[in-house]
Amino acid sequence: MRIGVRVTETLIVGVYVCADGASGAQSVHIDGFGMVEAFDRLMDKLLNTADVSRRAEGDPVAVVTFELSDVLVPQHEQLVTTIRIAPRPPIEPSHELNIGMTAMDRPRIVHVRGGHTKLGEELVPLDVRKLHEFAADVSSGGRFVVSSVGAQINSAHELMAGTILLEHADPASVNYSHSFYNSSFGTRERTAVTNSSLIPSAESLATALVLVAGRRVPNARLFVTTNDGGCVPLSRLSVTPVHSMFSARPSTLIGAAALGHVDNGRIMVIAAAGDFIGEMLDGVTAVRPQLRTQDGHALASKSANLLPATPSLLTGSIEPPIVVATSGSPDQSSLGLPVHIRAEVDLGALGAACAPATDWLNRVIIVRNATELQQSLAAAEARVRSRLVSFGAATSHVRIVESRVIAAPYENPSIVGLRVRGVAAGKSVGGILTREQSGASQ
Amino acid sequence: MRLSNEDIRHIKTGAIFNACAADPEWCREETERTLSLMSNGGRRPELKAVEEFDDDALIVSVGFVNNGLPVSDLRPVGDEFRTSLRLVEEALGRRVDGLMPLAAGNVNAIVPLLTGLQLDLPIVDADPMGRIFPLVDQTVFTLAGLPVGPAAATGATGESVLVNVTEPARAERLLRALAGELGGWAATATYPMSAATLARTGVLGSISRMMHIGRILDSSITTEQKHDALRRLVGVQQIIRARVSDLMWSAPSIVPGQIDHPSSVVFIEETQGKIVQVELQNELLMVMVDGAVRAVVPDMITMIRPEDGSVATLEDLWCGNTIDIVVMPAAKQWYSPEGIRLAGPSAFEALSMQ
Repeated sequence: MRIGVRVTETLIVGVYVCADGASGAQSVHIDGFGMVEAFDRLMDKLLNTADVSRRAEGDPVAVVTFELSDVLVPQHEQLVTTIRIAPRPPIEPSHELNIGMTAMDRPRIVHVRGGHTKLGEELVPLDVRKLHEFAADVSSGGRFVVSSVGAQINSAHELMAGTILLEHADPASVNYSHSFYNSSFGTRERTAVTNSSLIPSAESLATALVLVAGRRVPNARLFVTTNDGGCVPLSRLSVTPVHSMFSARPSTLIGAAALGHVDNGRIMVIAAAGDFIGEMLDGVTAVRPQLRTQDGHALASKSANLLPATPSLLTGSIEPPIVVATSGSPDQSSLGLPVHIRAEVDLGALGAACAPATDWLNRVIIVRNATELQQSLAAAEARVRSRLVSFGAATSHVRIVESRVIAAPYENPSIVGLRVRGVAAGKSVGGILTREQSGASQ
Repeated sequence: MRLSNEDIRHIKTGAIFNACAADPEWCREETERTLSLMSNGGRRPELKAVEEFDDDALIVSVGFVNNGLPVSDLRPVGDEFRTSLRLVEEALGRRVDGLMPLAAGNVNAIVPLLTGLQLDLPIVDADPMGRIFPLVDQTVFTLAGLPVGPAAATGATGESVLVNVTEPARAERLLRALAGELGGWAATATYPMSAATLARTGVLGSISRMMHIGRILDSSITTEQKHDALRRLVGVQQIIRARVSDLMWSAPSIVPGQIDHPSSVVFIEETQGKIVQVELQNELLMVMVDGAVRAVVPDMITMIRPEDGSVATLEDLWCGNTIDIVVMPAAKQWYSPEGIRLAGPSAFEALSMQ
């Protein structure tokens, strides 16, 4: 049995999905309880429903997946300090560039000489002395982001700078830009800064949820939904919360796909916040390589491709989208399409229960021939498979849904990117619920 | 004319559209630097038609030449183009009077706007390509037999080199090698020439054309209206709306003179089941629909997002995504026999394999 839990500021909703496809939902208002107690009460209600308690022996709760994007709150009280490692500092303010960072996010910037080339060679030596001087002066408990030129290929300077900070600056956290795959220094840094601001909230959430879940369902594996419509172990939330920051709509799409039994095809979700269209391809969401925030700035996080519903999207395809309405939304889509399925269950929580465990491997490699390329791809796929198994998935449930080489235009011709996406799921999203289950009306 | 913030943003959009940019971040960041400098300095870039310059005014093209880390990773610090221009001025013994972009697309379309602001120099509404080609020597100036040098290259490390070269193909090899050694790119100053020569040989009006294209793409009209407006403005034709089905990268041996391996993207047009194949090698080179060539270099092949008619880039080529593939004619010089030889299908490894 799987449980999906969507947490908002005022409400916690839980949906259970049994191995035979039966499902049900419960909710608890947070007002007056606090989130931890509300979650405890929700688990109590869920575990004591007839369906769940009757199946406790043969189909125990194996997985609890949380959708937490609504309560992941950036912390702005303490400014992030960014260590920018590059051969030279900007000569004028216009070349400093803090694109996409709000006034609250805007970090204090310290420039340090260093950086690597695309081939991983040292472009200039790291200015270790400056880092030591800075670390000795800075107050303890600071939050730091370290970003270096060429770190996507060689992270040595970032790691060395981080080591100096950890040893001498007594920091609260150190985030590295190379943890976020992107060829842009600014996008990597922006993602790391955003991630850093979410960590206090993520740590507190993860700790609270683990304590309650550990007491209520001690044998269950705990997951958190991600921006790509998948889920990862909850332990990752404290490390890379940015990957769960925008997971609400992807989870809603997964819930709609489960309800509509859609593994391949477009889905239009009618929601109070605006209709959007997404797509399922072979049981997983269509995903774009990086996330664009509402103001158009990129974050290095894979995200489900969800587009505002516009008339243009209805042309160029034979099959019209399946239209799924969230509860309380209008009877017709903004484009005039009739609603096929009206959800009586919280789609975000259902999506959390149905989201497949997902892992990505992105890496820049240097290859000289096709044989080396195939070897690199095979190694990358093996790594993704083993990580998914380490999430608790059965080997037979793991599959590689994407494995390809991406050229890097205007760069060195021997340098290419690898992108591998693996998922682990016993059943595809469209096949999880029984056809006659009660969370929808046609 | 003095360019406003909106003009700059439209040029950026037009530049990304012209290039079907590999990484739009390069262009966006250069635009932000330009807008920030305008905001801090209270000045606006001056765009002038070539006829507004004296015949003997010295015009130089400025642009990044890449080979390694992109401009979005190894960021410029702000003095690189100044240094290269100073080296060319010293070599020629006279001051530069105006700047033009090395290419009418992507980041290089914005470079002269920023450099012009820094040096208080006007920008000429012209360029050597009328679009983007990957190689420095794929210019209408090569067709006209003009020299590339003296050229200068400066890297993000602050190191700089004056290259005394005339032969365009040699200039490409030397500047490309320097870009690699400088860490990934070189801020170059090339093709110094008089305004009269530029008026006779260059692709004229290319910056204002990008601005007009960008104005349409940035507007709030529907996708269909944008297609119509672009058709009327610059002859853009929609080839097909199709969904990315597969991306393939081939790894043959590297052909000398080529700066990247080719890739293929396969699309499916779903209403009639047509198969669309796009060949890439830094730029979109050729589109085939059910095996028939519908557009090929020097045609400018680019993409629009169907949902809102905004400009799409190579970033949008991920499996499952639906894209409008469009084509527009390049500058007329490229359709001459010499132009086809220099930048037509036979000039690209990707197409010689077909």
